[in-house]
Amino acid sequence: MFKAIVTLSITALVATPALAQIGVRPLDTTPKESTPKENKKTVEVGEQAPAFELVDQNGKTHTLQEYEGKIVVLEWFNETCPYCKGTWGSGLIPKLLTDLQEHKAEVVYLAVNSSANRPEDKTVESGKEFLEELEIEIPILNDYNGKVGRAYKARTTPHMFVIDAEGTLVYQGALSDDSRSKEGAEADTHVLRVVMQIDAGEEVSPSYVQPWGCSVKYAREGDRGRGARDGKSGRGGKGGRGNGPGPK
Amino acid sequence: MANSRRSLQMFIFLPLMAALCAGGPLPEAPSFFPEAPEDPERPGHAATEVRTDVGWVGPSQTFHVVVAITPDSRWHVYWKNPGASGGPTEFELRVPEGFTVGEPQFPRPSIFRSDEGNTYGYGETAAIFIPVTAPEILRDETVEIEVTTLWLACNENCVMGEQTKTIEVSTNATMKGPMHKDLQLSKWEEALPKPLDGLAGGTVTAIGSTIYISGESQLRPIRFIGIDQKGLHFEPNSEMIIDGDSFRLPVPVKPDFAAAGGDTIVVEGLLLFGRKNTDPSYVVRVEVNSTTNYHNGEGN
Repeated sequence: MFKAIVTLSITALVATPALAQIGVRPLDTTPKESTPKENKKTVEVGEQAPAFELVDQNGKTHTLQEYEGKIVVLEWFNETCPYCKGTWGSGLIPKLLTDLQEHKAEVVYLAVNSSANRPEDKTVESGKEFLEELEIEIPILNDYNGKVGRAYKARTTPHMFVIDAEGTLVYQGALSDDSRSKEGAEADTHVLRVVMQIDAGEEVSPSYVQPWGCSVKYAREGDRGRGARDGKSGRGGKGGRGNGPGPK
Repeated sequence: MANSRRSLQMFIFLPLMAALCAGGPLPEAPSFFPEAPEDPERPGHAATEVRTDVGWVGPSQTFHVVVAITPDSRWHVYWKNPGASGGPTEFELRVPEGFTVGEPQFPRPSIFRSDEGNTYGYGETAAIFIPVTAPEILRDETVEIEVTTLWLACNENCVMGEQTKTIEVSTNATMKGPMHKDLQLSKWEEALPKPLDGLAGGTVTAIGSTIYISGESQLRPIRFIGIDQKGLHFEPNSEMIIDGDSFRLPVPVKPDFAAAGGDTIVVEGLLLFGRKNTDPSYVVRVEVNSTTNYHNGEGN
């Protein structure tokens, strides 16, 4: 399934996101001290994973239902986030993709981009170019309106979710314990550990590790996206497998 | 380790320079942002200053390396526990042989609300105190301490930052040095959380899967920020019991001793009073043990 050719063209890898920041002055989003609301809980491990139907960077539609019987790994992804640059650019995720192929259980790896701080077409194109430079072919599912991300309560990029062959969420949280990519491709990932535990018929433990990374740049509630200017509508999730609730 | 950090920086700058030198067209900047070049002096959108709180250092003396990190206007960096998203501010110290480095003490963070949960950090200068202890045997000389600060700064986008500063410290073979007590240091020190026993009636106990924090204060609101760790997850706070100035705050936790790799987990967090960064805060620390106070979610 994975064509993970790890001949990384590092220069090209980050050229787009690095250059894209030239001439950019961020909006005034100075955080204001606030009374904290109760932190929203993430979707509970052990529950049916929320169903989705999303289109990837090549126009192909993916549903969770179609991967029934396989382990599904979801990575919340934003190629402009330095943590994603680090985990992909260091070779960690390319190596993970290769390692996952060696396990007996069939594993499907899907990146999901819920970022809406740029126009939708630019977001899709930028992610596509990012993977092309790496010569890696995996789907990046476009969740521009953030419905699937919010259904999973994805908070960071990266934020990992592992769904077992029965459609049950068995892990959610950090990719690894090496947030700054100091160990490069040699870092142990929780995703591989979880897949190995599933392979061995063991209980997945820990099933949650606090995720790290940039915040997911969701479209504001009631808005389609901060960068939306083209009048196109986002794609929400629907359908799915099992009895999991669809995105709200 | 240093190499990997360096290489990550090179990822970012080499292609940038290559594109600029080649005179190629730059990708279109998102039109919804006003254009302004990034400050080349502050690529990480923050900068650090480093000093100590001691005149000189004597044998076995503990002093602090104080790192003041200042994010750019409209940007923020994170507390040691970033919360729902973000990345912690971290330190790497290179000290002379025999010197030991303790746990950094962060000032009270601001709480930033986001759709996906709260994050914790600093929109203005934050001074972190890192305890360093000198060895028993010292010579009269000057030694160097190298401090590397690593952070994530965020605004609409996020960038990683890193800065290394070296400071010189005089050592004295026989006499401990005087502590600096200038206004700036005193102000920074005041912003550090205090031990819970410094709060009137301040106590914390773990019963079953809940920790109970009690004390007395007239300042409101009273809030608790737990620090997630491997094998420990905080549940939403339960309702606080208030009786005059006294309060009792139950904080449900979800320990996973297998994941933590032991029978004991040290639960840690910060108790905050009021809303201002200068209002008091206290470090809460309590052990949750799988055999003595935690049995299938029930206390004994």
